[in-house]
Amino acid sequence: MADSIIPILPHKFIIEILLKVPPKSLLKFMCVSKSWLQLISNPKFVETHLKLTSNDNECSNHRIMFQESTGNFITQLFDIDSPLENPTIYTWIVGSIDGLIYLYNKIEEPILWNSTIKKAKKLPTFGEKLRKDCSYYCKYGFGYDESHGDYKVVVIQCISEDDGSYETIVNIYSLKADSLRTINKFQGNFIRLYLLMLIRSICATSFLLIYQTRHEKGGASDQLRKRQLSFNSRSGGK
Amino acid sequence: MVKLKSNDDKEFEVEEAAVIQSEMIKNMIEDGCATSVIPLPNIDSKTLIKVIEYLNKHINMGKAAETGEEDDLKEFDEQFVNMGWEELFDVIMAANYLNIHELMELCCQSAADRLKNKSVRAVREMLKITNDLTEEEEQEIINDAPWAFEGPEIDDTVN
Repeated sequence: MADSIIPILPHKFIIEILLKVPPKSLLKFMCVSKSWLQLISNPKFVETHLKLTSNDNECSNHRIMFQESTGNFITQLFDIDSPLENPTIYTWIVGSIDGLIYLYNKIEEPILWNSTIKKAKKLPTFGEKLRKDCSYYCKYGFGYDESHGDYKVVVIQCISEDDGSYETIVNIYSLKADSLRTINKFQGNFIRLYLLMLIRSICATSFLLIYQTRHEKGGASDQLRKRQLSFNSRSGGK
Repeated sequence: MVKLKSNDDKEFEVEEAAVIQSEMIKNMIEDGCATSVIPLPNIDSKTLIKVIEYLNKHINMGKAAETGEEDDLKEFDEQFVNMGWEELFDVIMAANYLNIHELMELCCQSAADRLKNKSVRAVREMLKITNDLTEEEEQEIINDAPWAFEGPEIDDTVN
């Protein structure tokens, strides 16, 4: 060989190659140099990496997660470290997107869990936003808001008042802003509330909330009405 | 036939159907700029032979699915990237210059596969990267996800 000097690969090619390296290796490679650390931590790089891995035709990055009766999680027959110290049978997975898993343990302990890099984040508690002096039930949803590039949790509380009326309050948590706020209140008895959270490819604009409600005075007809609501999650402050 | 010339002045004849997998050459032919020999000042003959080998094999890629030759192509690709680390760099840069998307993907994937289990030290050496992180910075990254730096798969060799 005429030259045995290893050519120095331009940065552009390093990016191309690192986009094809699995997340665990990327965590390790953050240690290689300052420029690698910057590159791998760059949200744009992360987003591109995510897109490439989720477009993998062979679905080799897809995992099925099971929950044992003890509350622990296993994925394809391998134990994975649960982010919860004391998972219970009441712990359940509300939803998962891009490897992020929203776990419901109890109202005081909502958790977002990135099982790939083994990191969990405790979300601000919904307890304060919920009315406790009444009977109520909650529905939870977790999704990706493509228009804002943000992961969001929606908690809907349906309150039954003493006088027989109902109120429904929608709370939303934004991962980007790391804040929780009430975005809407409805009067009415929602017998069923379905939350279809922004499936990435389907929902291009903010949130689409589809619910079915029955008129309180609808009587025997029990007519189900279908309504659609679109939230711009940015309205009403950060 | 299209004639290609490497930077060490060697000429190679390639079928047009094969060579137009290179977007760059395809554009040259369409623009009528490829009447005689196409000089490739960035590519040496050793690398060009490899690239032509790939182009000739992938000449009827679209047909492979119909004729059941997909496995054959897959096997070829696996053998093809079984080359030295420096040679792989050369092919990546040639594929980029010639704009052959599939070849670029194949070689970058191979580089990624070779790197993924390497230790940090091995990666630095393989890519000639100088570590400019302080010891504290480095330790902080390790402490953040110690499990990523452990395991029997971690490979400290540099080839």
